[in-house]
Amino acid sequence: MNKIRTLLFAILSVVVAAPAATAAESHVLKFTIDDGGSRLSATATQAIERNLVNLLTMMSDAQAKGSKTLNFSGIAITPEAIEGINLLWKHQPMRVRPQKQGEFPYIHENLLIMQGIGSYQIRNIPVSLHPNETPGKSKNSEISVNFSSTGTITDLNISMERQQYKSLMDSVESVQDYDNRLMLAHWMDQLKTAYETKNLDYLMSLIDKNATIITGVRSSKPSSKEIEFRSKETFDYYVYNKTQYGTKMRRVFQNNKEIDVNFLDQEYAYNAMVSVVGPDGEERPRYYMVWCTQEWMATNYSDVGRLFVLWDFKNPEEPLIMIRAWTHPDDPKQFSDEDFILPVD
Amino acid sequence: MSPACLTSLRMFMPALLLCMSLSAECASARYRSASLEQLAKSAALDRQIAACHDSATLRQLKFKGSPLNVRTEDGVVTHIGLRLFSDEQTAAIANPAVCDFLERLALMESAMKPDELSRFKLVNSIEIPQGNIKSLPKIAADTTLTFRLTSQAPRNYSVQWSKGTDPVLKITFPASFRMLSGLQPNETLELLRGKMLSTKAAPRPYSAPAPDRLEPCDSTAGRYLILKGSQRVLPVITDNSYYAWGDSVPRLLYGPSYPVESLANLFVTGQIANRATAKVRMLQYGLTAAEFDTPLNSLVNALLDEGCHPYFAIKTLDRDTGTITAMVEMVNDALGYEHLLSIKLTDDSILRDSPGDIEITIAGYIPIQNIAELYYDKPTTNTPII
Repeated sequence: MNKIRTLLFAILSVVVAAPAATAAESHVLKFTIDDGGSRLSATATQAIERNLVNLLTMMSDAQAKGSKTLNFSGIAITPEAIEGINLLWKHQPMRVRPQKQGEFPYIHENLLIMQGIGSYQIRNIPVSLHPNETPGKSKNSEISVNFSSTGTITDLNISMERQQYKSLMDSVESVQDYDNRLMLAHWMDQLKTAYETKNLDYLMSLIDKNATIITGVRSSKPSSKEIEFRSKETFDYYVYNKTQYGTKMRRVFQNNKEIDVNFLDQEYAYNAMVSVVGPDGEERPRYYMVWCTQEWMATNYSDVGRLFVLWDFKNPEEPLIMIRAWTHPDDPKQFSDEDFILPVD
Repeated sequence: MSPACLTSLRMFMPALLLCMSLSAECASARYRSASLEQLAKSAALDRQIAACHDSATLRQLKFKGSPLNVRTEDGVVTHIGLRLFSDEQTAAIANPAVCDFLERLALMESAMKPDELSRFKLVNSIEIPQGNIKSLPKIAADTTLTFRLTSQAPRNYSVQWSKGTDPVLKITFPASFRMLSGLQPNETLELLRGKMLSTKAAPRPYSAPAPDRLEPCDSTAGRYLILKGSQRVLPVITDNSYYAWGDSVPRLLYGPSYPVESLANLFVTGQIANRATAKVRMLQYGLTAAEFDTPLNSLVNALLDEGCHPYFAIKTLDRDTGTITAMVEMVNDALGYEHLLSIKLTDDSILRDSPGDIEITIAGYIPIQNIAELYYDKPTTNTPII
């Protein structure tokens, strides 16, 4: 939808009652109207401004006086909205909140089109709530007010503050990320099962055709005379492509009656540099990584090492292993995504 | 058929059915898993178990003089082990899976050769810092010893028998569902599928929370009350439940005006009667998936009955189409796993008490005992090469 932003500096001076024994405050309301391409009439705009200002003034006044009831006379408002505001008032009266001490209260807001042509909302109006159950204590919040096309108030709600809303949106993205991380645990379990059941076809189906596999084995060669390893054990590393790794694992599966693999102390992260657009049109991380301790216990060979596995979540339904790198625990070299040039296409 | 014949048939039918049942059982015992069948054969118990036709005779079974604990469900053997715990002790320990595991382990150690044991992936997962596991049956039978189970859910268990303050036998093992249950991945999923199909669809009994525990909450949809529970990892993943505003007795919120809260209530409480059909796609080992339909409450009840704790989080809400996607975690910390449910609701008819579908993809029995750090992220300097 093409949104036409019309900036209206409808500056209204509103006098609201201040708390008892303090001077009255002036509230300046500033509206930025997003009318969704359907320009609001001047009459409707004035009605919205007038009704909102009158409502806020009346409520602020009632809160300052400690009034338990509200007087909606002179305000165009539906009976349903009155009922809702009265219910709200029973629990937590409120008043408009100056944004800074000693400054004129200043409200900068959008008028949003809601639920199709003919319904509007102003939100993020700063208020202080004064819950009846905690006398003397207040908390800052924001409210939103809905209007009909003629400017009649149809509802009022305590809304999330901007920062809260942003946090929630961030959290929604985080939920997808969290979901991916749990699925990573699922796929690591699938990898374990592929090894333990010696299912070569399945193992290969988990590995990308362009994957890099780094494996190591305990070396039978004696240590160098010149440079003595701190560990008496030495390890040789080999780099394989998918086909070569498949050939190797076919031999391993044939030569070992039993294979037991554990991926212990798994640590998860994503690569923050490469993203992919999901089915919802949102960008999300493409590569997730696992560092863990791998216990490999087979009939003819056993070892323990550090394992780095990088999964490509381009297709989150069937992620693929791009890198599987093993190192000896004593080796200071620990692989990570920074060691590899990752595809971005 | 004459009335006399019918009467005779009625008289002899139970005996006939019993004979048929016995002959079937004598032919071959059926086992819940391949590993149980292997254990029964290694211990030469297969025929004895098959010959038993009730729990009383099963309780008479012994292995090399030691009493056995063998259980069946609907004619299927679900547990075989050396009896280490009385029924009272098992109830007191309140973790039957751990008791079963120890009993099975004791029998395996007694009946299997080392190369057979290695097939059960146990040798490297169990540590015995004190004592000898071969003496487990004798130690468990010693009533002068005290038994203690320590859990560091969802990571490890430790069991210890002590004489006074001196430990006699100590065994530590991971809270791995696969190891504790003795089931292979597809066996666990098949069992789960069976539970989801067979569990009753009736809503769980409703218990209204005390009104003073409910907090008012405003949303764009309207006003309601919230029973705040616990969070899981992220603030938006919770076991909160939601209640209608203005009722003297709290009533669970459910309806098309509150689709997200209603969905949360469906999965978190299981207390809402509904006519929803879960179109389930259960991921299985080998890039395959089992697809089946079941009443939504059967699915929820099956997972809650397993001892799982539910958590709900919204993923997306498309206001134009009304499509909601969400995730539900069913967490079993005691057994070190969780089920991850991806929910998609495209039609809100189920929220209007009408029949309707809800799509659910399940990744079942995800092991969580091996996760040390779910968020190990650090700033990266990796630059994409275009």
